[in-house]
Amino acid sequence: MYKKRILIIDDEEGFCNLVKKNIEQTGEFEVCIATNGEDGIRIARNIKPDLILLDVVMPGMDGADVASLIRSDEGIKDTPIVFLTAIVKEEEASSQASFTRGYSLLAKTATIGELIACIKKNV
Amino acid sequence: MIITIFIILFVSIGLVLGYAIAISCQQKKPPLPSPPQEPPQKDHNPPQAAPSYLEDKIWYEAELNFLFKFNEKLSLSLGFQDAVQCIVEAAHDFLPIERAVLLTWDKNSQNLTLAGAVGWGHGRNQESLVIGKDSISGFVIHNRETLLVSDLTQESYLNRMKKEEYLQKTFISAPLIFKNEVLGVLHVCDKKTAEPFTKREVSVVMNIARMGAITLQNVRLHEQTSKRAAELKMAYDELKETQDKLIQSEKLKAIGQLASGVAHEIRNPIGIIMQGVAYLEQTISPEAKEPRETLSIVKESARRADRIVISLLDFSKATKLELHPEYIDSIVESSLSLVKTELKNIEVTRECQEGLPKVLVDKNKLTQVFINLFLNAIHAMPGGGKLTIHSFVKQLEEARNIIDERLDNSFKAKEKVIVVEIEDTGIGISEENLKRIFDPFFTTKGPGKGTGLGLSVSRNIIIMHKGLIEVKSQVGKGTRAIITLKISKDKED
Repeated sequence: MYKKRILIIDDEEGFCNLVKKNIEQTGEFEVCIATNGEDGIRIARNIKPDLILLDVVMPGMDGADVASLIRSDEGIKDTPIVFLTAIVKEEEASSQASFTRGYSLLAKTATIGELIACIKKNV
Repeated sequence: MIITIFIILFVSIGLVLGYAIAISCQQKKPPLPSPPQEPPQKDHNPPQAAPSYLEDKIWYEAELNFLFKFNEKLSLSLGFQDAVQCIVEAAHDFLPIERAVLLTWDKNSQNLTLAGAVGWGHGRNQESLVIGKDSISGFVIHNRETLLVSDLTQESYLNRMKKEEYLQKTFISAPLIFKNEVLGVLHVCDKKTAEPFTKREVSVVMNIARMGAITLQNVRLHEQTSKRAAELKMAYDELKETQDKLIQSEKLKAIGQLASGVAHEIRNPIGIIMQGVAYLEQTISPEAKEPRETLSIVKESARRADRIVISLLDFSKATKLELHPEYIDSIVESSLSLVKTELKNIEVTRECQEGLPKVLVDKNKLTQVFINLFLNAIHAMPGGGKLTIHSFVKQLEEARNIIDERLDNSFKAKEKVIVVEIEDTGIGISEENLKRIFDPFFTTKGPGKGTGLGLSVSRNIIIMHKGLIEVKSQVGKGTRAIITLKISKDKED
């Protein structure tokens, strides 16, 4: 069975590993991890993921920069992006916030159920 | 030669001593009261027999005794009115007269006012007093002299006055003067005996007036000082309150700034804990009861920490409002539906005035405020009770200030506003706690049940709407939260 590829780009390695485990436990997805923006873009070009979970606040290249580079890259420009952020509240994440207009947003403290639902909706 | 010198010396000393003794004897005599200023036509006052030395002595002793007691009583006066009454009563008690009246004089308005009287009954009231400029009182004030009238009807120099208007026929009228300023007039009227007033009696009245004037001026100054002190105290209290509220407002802003700075750092580890718990929940056997209970506690604690961060973030985001004209009752209704499951054993009453105008508000933020207030009311009634929500338009009687950096957004007097009152029949809030309910992190709920930020956030939201939030409470009876909002000026809405 073909498993959809999810790429997580987040500087919190521990968070990435646990999210990977939880998503993969569903049996429907295969998850790759990048802990900075540059690695994230490189991996995305290589594996061409079905969805990218992207952290907003990161040292160096932040989420907005990464999203902009992905959108300008012919090979991966149509990849759906879900922003993961520690700043917004759940209820704001479910609506469209101004600074990431056009993208889906999800709070980092969302439950695994909410995370899977969000992935399935956008993939 | 020496003997002659001694004799001259003795004679000189004797002369000097004699002169000194003579002076000291003169000084020991009681001082004679200064004679009253005689009215211009004194012929109508019958001549009086000269009093004997013994009579004088007895009189002066009695007068001194009286003045001493009068002074003592006067100095204990509690206020202006008290001092006035003390003066008229003293005159009435000491002299054989029917009545004593004291009128005060206001030099700015040129008005005479009846301040106090004794024996002014039996059909006499303030209206029966003649206190115009052409009155006897006016005459005394203008001339600054004591007036003795033995028979008013015979006084030709008072021709200009309407004598028939005066109910008293014999009287002494003395001005109350302090530092060249006339404060009033003391009238002692209608001697009980057939004899006319004596010079001694005139002297007593003048002394009462002199002492009275000093006391009245002191009491007046004291009252003015007390009034000023009370005004200053009130101004100080108002200033203190404003300062406290400004400090509070600054404190909230600082917390907001801090919150937005650390939220990211705190929520990241919370996210890791939540993901970790989710992973363990999937992997641990359903039979492992204790590990699952432990995980449940960890999960709930992480959620609690997250809720605190969310509340803190509300401060930093408080500057952003999405304002739209809304009907306040639809916001109340939708907020109420969100807490419906919590309303166990609670009877809800809605009192909504018909045709309420729209208000310019951020619906989501205001919903947050109402939910907060509803939950507080519900938690205050654990055994059930009554929740009343009353919304209406009101015209403000006086101007109200919003204590914030946006002071120009105050309510004006007579301004029409929308008021929402949320009242419960719960346990109430003590006076001490009531002062602190808007303080961040202040809560009376148990650990984990409240962050202590609900009301602080609510207050911040209402202030941003240029509105007011007040809470009134009585322990054991209940609490009432009152929200006042401006009515939307857009008539099309």
